Amino acid sequence: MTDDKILDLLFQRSQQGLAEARKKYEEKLFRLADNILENRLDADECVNDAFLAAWNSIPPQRPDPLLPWLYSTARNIAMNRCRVSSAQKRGGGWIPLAFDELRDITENEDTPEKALDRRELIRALNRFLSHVSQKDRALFLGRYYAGESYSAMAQRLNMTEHSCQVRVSRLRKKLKDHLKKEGLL
Amino acid sequence: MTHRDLLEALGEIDPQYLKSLDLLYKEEPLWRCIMKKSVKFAVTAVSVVLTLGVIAIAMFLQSGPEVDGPAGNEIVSATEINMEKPPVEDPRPISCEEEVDGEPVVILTERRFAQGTKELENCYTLLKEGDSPNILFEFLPEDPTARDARITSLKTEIMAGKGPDAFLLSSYIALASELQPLFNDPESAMRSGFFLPLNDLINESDIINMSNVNTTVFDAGKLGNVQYMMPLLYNIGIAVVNADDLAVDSAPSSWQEVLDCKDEKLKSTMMGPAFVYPGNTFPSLADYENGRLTFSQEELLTRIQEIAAGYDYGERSETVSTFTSSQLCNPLLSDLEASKAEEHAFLPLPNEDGGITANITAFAAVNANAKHPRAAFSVLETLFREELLTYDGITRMNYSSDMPYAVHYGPNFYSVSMMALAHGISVMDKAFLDSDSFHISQEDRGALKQCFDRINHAHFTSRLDSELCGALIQIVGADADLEETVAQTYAALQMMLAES
Repeated sequence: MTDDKILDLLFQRSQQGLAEARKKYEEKLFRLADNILENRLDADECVNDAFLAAWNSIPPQRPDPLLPWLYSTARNIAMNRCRVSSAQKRGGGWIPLAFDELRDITENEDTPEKALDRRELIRALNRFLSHVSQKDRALFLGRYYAGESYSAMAQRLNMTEHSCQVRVSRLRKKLKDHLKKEGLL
Repeated sequence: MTHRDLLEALGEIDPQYLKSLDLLYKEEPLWRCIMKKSVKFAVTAVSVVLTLGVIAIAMFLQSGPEVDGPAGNEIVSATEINMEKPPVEDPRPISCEEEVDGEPVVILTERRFAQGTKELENCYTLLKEGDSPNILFEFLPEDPTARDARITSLKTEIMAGKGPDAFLLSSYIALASELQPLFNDPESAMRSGFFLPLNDLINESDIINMSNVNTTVFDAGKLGNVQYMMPLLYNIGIAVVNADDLAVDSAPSSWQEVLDCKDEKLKSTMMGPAFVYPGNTFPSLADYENGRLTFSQEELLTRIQEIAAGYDYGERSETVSTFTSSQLCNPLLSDLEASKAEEHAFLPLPNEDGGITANITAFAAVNANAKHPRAAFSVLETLFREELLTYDGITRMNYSSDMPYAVHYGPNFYSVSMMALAHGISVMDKAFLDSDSFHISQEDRGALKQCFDRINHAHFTSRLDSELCGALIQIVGADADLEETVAQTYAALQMMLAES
């Protein structure tokens, strides 16, 4: 079923719309959530919450295309869960290993002079992503948006794990240079 | 900034970039998984067999007791290593260097054309065979407040020598909606130097075939001999009725003939399109060179009186079966298709000169300050692909499965997506009519082609048109005072022209 039809059904408050959305996207969202939470039960709940958010937000929203909206929602829910879980553990690592690599790019601590406008950072990231090829975007976002493992990405993109790691590491360096150039680092 | 900031900001990036995740998450068909595994297994098996063969030969060449000695042991251990790590483990069939450097080509368009932009991007990428720049479509908001704010900031950007690379806009919006267009009067924008001259790019283009376009309409995008804008869609005022209900030996061919027409039914029918496009009874509305209207207030008063007096919708609609009482556009063509067994009478609205004035409803142009003018133009010229006029769109065979099948890119592009942007007919009007988009009778096709040939003026639909139409609605619909309304309208038109 097309996204348009799913959205039409959701606009009619039909449960079938939700069922079709689940059928189409549940697996993808689960994979993303599981990468971040590293816990299948939590990931499952996160996906349920994402679909509940869709049910509550559509209408009035009509996210077109639907999948990126669901990705963002699921990711935000998963990241929030990570944060809560880390607070409970009092200082335990609150992000998965994949995301930890981004420490290469950034400072360890926030300093007043480095405090920046969040919108500016998002704009800079958008500009960075617009400059790289689709495959590089998939690698970068796969790793740092969705927390994918190198081996899984390598398999899907027909690359070796090593070349995948090298390419992602180059992308990190490229992002660092880009953020420096934009005065954000 | 900490990496937490970065991670959180990543969660709010433009959703369009998340489409790339499809490369990772797209489900692979079962047959492809099986194929992949089979190939991997076969490659491993072959490498093992080859290696064992090499060892056997080596052992054969090495004689007697040496085989059992240390050298023999070394060979066996090398074999084990090779078996664990077959040499063809890293296929990498696709080049990693597919990166398109540089910023994306930004094209500003209307939100209502969102579906069209997807189709356009797909077609463009397909035709460029992977060698295409990134395209970023920016949509003007449909929410009036957000739209006004964005238009104000865009105007500032454009004046400051920035802004998008190209524009793909509806001028019809000025007439058919309350939404503010980016350019209240596209022709004035052209004269203000906002657009890039396109002559060289058009001449170099392999896609734009000038013999296909309606020259009069296309030339409206010119200033002198320089083409700044490319009209995409246009319409004309026209009434089409069932010939059984209204016998028309010869339709009036000039505005004066319409006024002199003795057949009241015919006259009132022809006032239908005049009511929607009063400006089309004049050859043009504005003399942009001298910054003034082409008619005086008295002439406008007379014209409005003529149309208001002749327009008697109630009487006409009861006696004449009308397919359209206003304009040439796709719903009309669909209606003609559905009723092709009937005989139709075509009554195009003539202007004072005896020709027909066309209203350009959608156009494309490249920003004079574009960072990527060539790339922007290469996207826009895709709109002139003849294949996009048809229901098939651009067709390619997909050979990746056992049963090759045809994939259609941009079917219904003109007949659906472009109509969402603006009502009208393609500037490649005759090719459009001859495409398989509509199956209308030969007689109707001939009559429409005659209308196309009679077009002797074309202008971009603007706020001037909507102001004129609004005045008529006030006078006929709300019984507003004629002279006072005309005086106000004339002043408003002058003001708009001065401000544009």
